[in-house]
Amino acid sequence: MNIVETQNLKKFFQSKKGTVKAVNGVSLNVIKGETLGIVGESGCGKTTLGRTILKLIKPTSGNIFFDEKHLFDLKLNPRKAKDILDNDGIDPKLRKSFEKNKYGLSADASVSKKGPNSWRIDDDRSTYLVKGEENSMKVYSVKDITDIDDKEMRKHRKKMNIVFQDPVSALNPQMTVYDHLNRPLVIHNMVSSEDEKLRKMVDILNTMGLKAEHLIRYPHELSGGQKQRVCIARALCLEPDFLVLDEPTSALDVSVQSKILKLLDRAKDKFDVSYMFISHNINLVRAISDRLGVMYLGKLVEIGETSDVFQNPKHPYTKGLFKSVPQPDPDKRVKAPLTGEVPSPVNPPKGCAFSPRCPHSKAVCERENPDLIEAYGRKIACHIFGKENF
Amino acid sequence: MKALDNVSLTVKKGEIHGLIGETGCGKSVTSLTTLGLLDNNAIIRGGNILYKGVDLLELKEKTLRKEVRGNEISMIFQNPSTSLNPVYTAGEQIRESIVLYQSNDKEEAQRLVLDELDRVKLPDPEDVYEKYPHELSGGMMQRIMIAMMLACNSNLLIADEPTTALDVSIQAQFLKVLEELKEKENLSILYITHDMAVISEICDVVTVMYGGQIAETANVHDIFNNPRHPYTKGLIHSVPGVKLNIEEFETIPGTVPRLINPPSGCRFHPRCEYAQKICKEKKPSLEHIDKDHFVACYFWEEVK
Ligand SMILES: Nc1ncnc2c1ncn2[C@@H]1O[C@H](COP(=O)(O)OP(=O)(O)OP(=O)(O)O)[C@@H](O)[C@H]1O
Ligand SMILES: Nc1ncnc2c1ncn2[C@@H]1O[C@H](COP(=O)(O)OP(=O)(O)OP(=O)(O)O)[C@@H](O)[C@H]1O
Ligand code: SF4
Ligand SMILES: [Mg+2]
Ligand SMILES: [Mg+2]
Repeated sequence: MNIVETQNLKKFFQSKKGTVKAVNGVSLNVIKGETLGIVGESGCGKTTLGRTILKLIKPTSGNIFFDEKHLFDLKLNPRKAKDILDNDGIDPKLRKSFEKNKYGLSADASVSKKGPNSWRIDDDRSTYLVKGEENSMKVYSVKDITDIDDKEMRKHRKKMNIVFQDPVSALNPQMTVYDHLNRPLVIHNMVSSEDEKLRKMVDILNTMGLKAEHLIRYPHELSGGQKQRVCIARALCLEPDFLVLDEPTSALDVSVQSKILKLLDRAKDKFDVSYMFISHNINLVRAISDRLGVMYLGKLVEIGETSDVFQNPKHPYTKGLFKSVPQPDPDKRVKAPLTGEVPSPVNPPKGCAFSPRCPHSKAVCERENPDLIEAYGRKIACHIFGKENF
Repeated sequence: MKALDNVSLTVKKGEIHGLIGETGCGKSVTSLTTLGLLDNNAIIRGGNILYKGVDLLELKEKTLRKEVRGNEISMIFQNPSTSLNPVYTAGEQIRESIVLYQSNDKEEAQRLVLDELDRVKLPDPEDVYEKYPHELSGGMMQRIMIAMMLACNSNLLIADEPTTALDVSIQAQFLKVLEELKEKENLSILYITHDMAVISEICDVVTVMYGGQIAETANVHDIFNNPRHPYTKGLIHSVPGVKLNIEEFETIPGTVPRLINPPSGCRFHPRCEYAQKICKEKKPSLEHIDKDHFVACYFWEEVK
């Protein structure tokens, strides 16, 4: 089941020279309890994707679903069910199947197709997703947070949070560490007394390797790493279900980094929180994520089980990226950086955005944009390497 | 609080000198001190900062500003988003450096800005020129900082975590630019980072700091293959490398020392597997153990 799912999510910015398509049709899911790693070139839209999912900025189009719950399996043969959903909308058989499972669909319910194997049903109370999975059709309830207003969103905000890339701008220079932790705890009624609050604050600071004395410090009195730990403490103190970690440890030294990653990893199991982990540190992503998504210029180009993707990267960009990873060994200074110009998000190349830099590019690559399709047990967007019969 | 205690290090001409150490150990304070950019609550109790034989601590703020910062020594700060001015576009901020240190001519300055943006591999230089910091991604801001510093054409560059927000391929290209500058223009660089892989990639010499003091200095090969301070050894071992599981990540036991009330003797002793009685009692001094290898540990001979 998914904690978060996006469908064809887009976020565009207007700039003087045109439209920046920062996130350009991303469909992905974060499964409950997993860590989804996201890697990709600087400026490819990772932070924007994270902020859009959390609705810190308004999506241009697409959908964001939160907190999927499995309700029941459709009591219809999958072929038949597909047919009905594709053509007949709310067919009586479909209605009956819902009723049998005590989920009456109201009269104005409507169906829309969302992907090759997924449909969405809306009625006046809920949003349902119907998904074809191997040989059954499963029905889920989800919260569609795409269009809800800020007030409504505030209720979910406690459940989904983000740790930003840059700890400095995320902290208010006028506020002490105490103030930073106090605000969320009070706003979301997490504590009933000052005593309990202090205990909670000190506890979470301790787990982050900080001490009670840091409560009275201002951001400029903390080192870079200490600041980032305060940011993580602030995000975890609300016990969220979903956390976007945007380069959470890039400001930390390796030893503290390892400690915090272990801690984040344990918090994941303990509090049932799922992560979207954005990082440039490929070795780190490899260790921490269950699945890995690779982005290039606003789109996913490859997504699958982390170990599979590492053992056998398919997309030429993924391959080039892995080859550029520096090794901690002064005797191995071999560099194979990706060559070529980084493409412009305002005027993206025609066809596959990676084609101008791709050593395997063919005519079709410059003509058509490849879809992200299933192959080798993962999803790949490449004309040449994205098909199994190649 | 004693943020720095007896810190001595030398950056030679044309050398890339790596400075590494746990968060809060005083790396940024070291670099800020060099340029006279410390907060008002900082006091310098003693010591010298010699640059080409001149003690920078004796210079007036005005001289530092006019003749040293930018001209001679430039710096990339640790936090791009707070070091860039939010009310000027990226291009305007780089142009300021160009006008100060390279060219007064308006059109030429404009062209040089675009060249710099290109050099740091930003796509659409003209578009980026017009963008305000909040419209840039983390890595783009960092590259603006780098471009500003490169535009100064100075002789010594202090780079405080300059690539934390860059992806590996752009990082590799940036490191190449630095190596070229070192080779062609004999630029000297003090490179502060947590990233051992980056250190191994470009540094000639490495200094390891711990709790406001120097633990070890050596050439990059010795730091990685023959570390003699227990802390350096721990650091090398906690590099993630290719670990497939978070639980395999090694950490150095214990926590970063408090600088307000630091441990007595060797500041590393509470976390050190080699510690003996003397470590608690007396601070070890930085010992010259090999050609360019210095270490502050009583038991360096046992560390393997
Ligand atoms: N203006 C200040 N007032 C009080 N304490 C400060 C101030 N600036 C720095 N410190 C303290 O000095 C110590 C050294 O800080 P510094 O910023 O040099 O660490 P660092 O080694 O650069 O760490 P990081 O890798 O996290 O950036 C830290 O304990 C920090 O809290
Ligand atoms: N508020 C904004 N206005 C205009 N353009 C923006 C804005 N925010 C982001 N962008 C643009 O969107 C693109 C994607 O930016 P984003 O911050 O998502 O990249 P990123 O993948 O997180 O990069 P990095 O690894 O450098 O942090 C960039 O081209 C950036 O300039
Ligand atoms: S001096 Fe003692 S405590 Fe310090 S690093 Fe050496 S052995 Fe460990
Ligand atoms: Mg980002
Ligand atoms: Mg620092």
